[in-house]
Amino acid sequence: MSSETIKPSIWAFANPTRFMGFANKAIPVLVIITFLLLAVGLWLSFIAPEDYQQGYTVLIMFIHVPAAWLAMMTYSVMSISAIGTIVWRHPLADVSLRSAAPLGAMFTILALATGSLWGKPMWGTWWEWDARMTSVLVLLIIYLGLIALSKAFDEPSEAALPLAVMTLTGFAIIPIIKFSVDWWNTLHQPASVSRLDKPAMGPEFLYPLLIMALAYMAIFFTLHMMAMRNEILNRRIRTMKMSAARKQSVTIPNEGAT
Amino acid sequence: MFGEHAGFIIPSYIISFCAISGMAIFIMAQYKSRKQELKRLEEAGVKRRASND
Amino acid sequence: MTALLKREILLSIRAGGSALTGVLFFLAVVSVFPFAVGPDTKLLSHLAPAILWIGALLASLLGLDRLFAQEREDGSLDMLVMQSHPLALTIFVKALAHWIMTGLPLVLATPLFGVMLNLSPLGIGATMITLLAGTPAISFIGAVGAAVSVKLPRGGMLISVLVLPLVIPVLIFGVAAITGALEDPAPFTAPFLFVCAITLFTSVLGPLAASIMLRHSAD
Repeated sequence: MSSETIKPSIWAFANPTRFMGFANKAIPVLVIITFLLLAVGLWLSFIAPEDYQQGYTVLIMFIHVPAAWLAMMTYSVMSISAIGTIVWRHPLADVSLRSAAPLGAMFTILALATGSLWGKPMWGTWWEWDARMTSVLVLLIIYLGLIALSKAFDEPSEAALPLAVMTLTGFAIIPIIKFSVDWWNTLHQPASVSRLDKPAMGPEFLYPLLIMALAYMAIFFTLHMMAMRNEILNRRIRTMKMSAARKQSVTIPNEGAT
Repeated sequence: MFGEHAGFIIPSYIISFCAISGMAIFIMAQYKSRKQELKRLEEAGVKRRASND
Repeated sequence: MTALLKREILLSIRAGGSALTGVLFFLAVVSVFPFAVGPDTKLLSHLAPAILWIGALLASLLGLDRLFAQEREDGSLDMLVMQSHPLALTIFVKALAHWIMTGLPLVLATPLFGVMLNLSPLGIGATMITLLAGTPAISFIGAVGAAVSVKLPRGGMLISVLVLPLVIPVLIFGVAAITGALEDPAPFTAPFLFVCAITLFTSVLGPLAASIMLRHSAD
């Protein structure tokens, strides 16, 4: 029982085995839903008419806006997981937080990249240091910092609480960054973002956008569940290797370190 | 096809597609390698819970 | 609690004058800018509030990794956790001591550097007030970073990466307030009150989050 006493936080509280069973059943369903939503969303996007102001570049909106929403949603999922870690010390919450971080970083990068590709033809610039873009860039830095933190500990279970505390601290600052939009705009005044938000969207654009957002959400939940499954397997392998090493070190003490 | 801005629209779709499918392929490849590793360890006789020492 | 504050300040003075090091670092950062930007006085006086704020930000990050490291090394961290005072209060005092040793000297040194950067007296005053109101927030947020990485052997860099994005709002409102004081249409009071609000907000949340973290790493 030695590994149980050394690492009680991993296996004692939750039931990752049950989660694995659920995930194995749920993932195929999620994959099908994702592809269906994507197909419908893309079809609706491509039959959408040309916007009188933006031309065909509205097509970028259908992948840019969902990516930006998902960048925020992923952080919310991570924050909820962080609460799970802090309050209940639930290991699955840590697994969830850790597997969501790279996905969040990916969506943030996509939002920035597609936004940049949209900004060039519309506003004539790849990048503008306005509040919206800068705050999303800060979000990306926070994601990358959290990923770095999750990899910095030798013992993964030790990283759980630091990660959770840091994630929640980051969340407390995100609304503040968001509110700064108004303040900062008075200094820099880029007409860009407000022009982008203002047009009351017609249904011919709104429906494809919403379906694409749902499709992106489905992508996130599918990949998140798959990544969580990987992370649980990772920890099992780790535990097994450690117990194997311990057994070896009992029989052949000198080779215990290898 | 997509008017004068095709040079911006098509790359943004390509980037999104590559990033998302790349992430999916990476996660699936990781799953496969984890499974193999687990199998290898189980065949080597390592128990999941070290209740044998 | 005042006793702890005194002890902390005395300790850091004895540890080799971190106040002086902070001011020196501040000076180094500020004097690097004219080399990079060029000795254009007009441009420099325009950039001065931003330069001073960035310098203060970076200088305040110095020594954050030492905030709990000494307690960790000599084992008195457990004593801090177990004593009868609330742990968050102890951390608040420690962060305050950190600010007195790194943030406050910068505020006091600001007039000198402001003159060097050709900043107007009004600008110097505005910079001092916003730094006075804003730099404590850096120490309080930094306490969370320090607590998180207390177990990391090589946490120093990571603290900066984690803490810097979180203090960006302070920087935004701080510089906005100075601009508001110097240029007419922009407001001063609103961004300045935001700086104060962030500092008060973090003075509660920062120590609380850090105490959760430290309590965990002690058991």
